[in-house]
Amino acid sequence: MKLTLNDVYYRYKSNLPYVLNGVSGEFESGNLYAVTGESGCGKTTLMSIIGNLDRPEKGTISIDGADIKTINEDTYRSKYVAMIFQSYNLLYNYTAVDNIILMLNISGYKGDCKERAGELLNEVGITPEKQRRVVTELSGGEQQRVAIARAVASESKIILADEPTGSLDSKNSEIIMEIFSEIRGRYNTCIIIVTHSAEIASKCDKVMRMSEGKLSYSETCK
Amino acid sequence: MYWLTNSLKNLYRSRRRYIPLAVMYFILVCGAAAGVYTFIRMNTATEAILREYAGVCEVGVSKSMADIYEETPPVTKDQLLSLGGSYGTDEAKISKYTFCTADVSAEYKAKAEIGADGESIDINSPVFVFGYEPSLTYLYSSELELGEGELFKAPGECVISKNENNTSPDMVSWNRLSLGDTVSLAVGDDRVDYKIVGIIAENKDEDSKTNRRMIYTPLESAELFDKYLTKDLSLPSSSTLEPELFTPEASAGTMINLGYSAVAFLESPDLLFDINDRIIDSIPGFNIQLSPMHGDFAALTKLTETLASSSVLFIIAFALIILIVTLITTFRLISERKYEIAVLRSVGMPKLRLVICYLIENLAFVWGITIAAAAFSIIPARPAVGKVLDTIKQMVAPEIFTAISGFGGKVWFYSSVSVFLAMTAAAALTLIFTAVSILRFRPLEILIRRD
Ligand SMILES: Nc1ncnc2c1ncn2[C@@H]1O[C@H](COP(=O)(O)OP(=O)(O)OP(=O)(O)O)[C@@H](O)[C@H]1O
Ligand SMILES: [Mg+2]
Repeated sequence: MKLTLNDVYYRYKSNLPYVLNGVSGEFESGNLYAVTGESGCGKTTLMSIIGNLDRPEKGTISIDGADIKTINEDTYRSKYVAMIFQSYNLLYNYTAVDNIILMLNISGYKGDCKERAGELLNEVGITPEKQRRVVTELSGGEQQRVAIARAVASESKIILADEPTGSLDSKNSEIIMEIFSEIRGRYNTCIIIVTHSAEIASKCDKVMRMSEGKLSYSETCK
Repeated sequence: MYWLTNSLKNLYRSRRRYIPLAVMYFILVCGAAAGVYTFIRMNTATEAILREYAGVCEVGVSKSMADIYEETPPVTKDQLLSLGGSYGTDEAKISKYTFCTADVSAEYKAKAEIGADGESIDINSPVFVFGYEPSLTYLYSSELELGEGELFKAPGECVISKNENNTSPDMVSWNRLSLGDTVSLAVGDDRVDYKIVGIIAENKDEDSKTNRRMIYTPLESAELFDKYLTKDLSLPSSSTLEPELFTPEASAGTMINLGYSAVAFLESPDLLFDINDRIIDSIPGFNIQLSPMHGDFAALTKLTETLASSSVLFIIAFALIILIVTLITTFRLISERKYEIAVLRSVGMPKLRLVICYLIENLAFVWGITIAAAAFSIIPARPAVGKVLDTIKQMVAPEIFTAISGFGGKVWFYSSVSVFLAMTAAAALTLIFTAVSILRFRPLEILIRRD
């Protein structure tokens, strides 16, 4: 599976400058990508565009050669690309397990949703007791893990993680990175991680840099 | 199934948002529904009474008083007593009402025993005997307003009327009668004793000089005189009397036996409130008197009209509350939960499903509370309804009241129709509103928060 961006342009309003100014790049399954860049350079915007939360003004995004415009928006969001947001974006009045069950139902999971949700949360280290808590009663790191579990639940081929370790200490960051690397191994997912941390970036297979609205392979590429 | 239960679970999840609204809404609906319940319940009860009695009118035919006193009665000695019988309408379930006058001649005096010592007095002028079918007595409750004692219960018991203002010699001796005394009437070979159990004082107003000696008694005790009835006297064909009154419908169930006096019931739905103790002089020498059977009908009709129009107000309020609350909840649902909608859209929840889920959640809230509050409203409404129904109860016969108290079912019909209509309208508006806001929704800006 290959995700291709071809000369993508995007701006929030027609009177504002382009945030994505001709982004091109390729992402393949089974790889862990890091996207770095200065604050405000457009990393989150790029993730949202890949996640099809909005359409680029110019350029194409395609999966295995198929333009994502030709894929149903909802199918794309629920089965192709899963997003883990900087602010987790969980449903805050739902319990951890209900968040996952909801995702499983949206993506049309065939088995026992409740059981599968428990499994997924166990995989990211959320204990059964914590699974039944409303997510606001979980710590930031735990919420991040629930968000990861939700991304995995969709069985998407691409997972976009926007600063998943941004608000976590180094120990928790490490755990999260281990989870990602395990997911990539187990599900052969393409994972794109936005990060400011060189350490996190160093754990990825490929590091890309964003500046002036463009994406380029970093020299620090492993 | 998941989406349905999840939407309902959302009500619980967002309970903090919903509870204050629920409390306010519950009180509003409860108040409006209690109003609807009370008004319609009372309205249907009074309407039922009106229906039950509609058009029942008493037709009294009598020789004028002067005739009775001054002319020789046109009957033989054995038929000094004339008795008129008549039949009521099926609808009012009035089986029989008898009105008779006893013209007591010198030979056939009424004797009355006064006091424990059994002192006997003679009454030398006519005594009127009214025989009442027991089920009919309530119709005469105003006539039988007792000053002393109680209403007759068993045959042989009677209520008499006295008038202290009248100082004619016969009336003075009649006025000496008191509770426990006995009045004996003898006609032909028959003699009937009446024990006085109640007294009507007719001198309530100063000018009242009524000199009629009246005995009110159960029909059984009056029927004894039936054989003295002058059967062959009849009114001219009813249609020639007064065409607009004696239409075929109006005269249905009317039977008039004419002696000195007779009473019949006339049934016509439109007639009732037109007649105000009308006296028709169609037959020379006779008075024909038409009087409504129940004096409070006009008040009841007015009450019904007031209730009907007031309950409409409550129903409108009821419907408006539902509409407004549904719109408020929808508005809040959409505006306060933009974030939630954005999250759901970002993970691929289809718009249509989202619309349906929110619709379910919203309607479950509004409908659930509406139904609960409407059902609960009976609790505050009941005492009020009970009070009014008690008042109405006193105005009508027990058996008729039992029949009408079943009409409460109509309450549910009216209120459920109004609730259904309001809810349908609310649901439609909610659907449009929710759909429009969700369909036009773009999640990006909400999810990328700079915090
Ligand atoms: N909703 C919006 N409307 C207008 N401009 C926006 C909006 N969201 C972001 N921007 C602008 O787009 C640019 C890119 O923002 P973006 O959030 O993608 O940056 P980022 O690289 O993720 O930054 P950070 O590292 O701080 O998260 C910024 O200049 C920002 O001000
Ligand atoms: Mg960002």
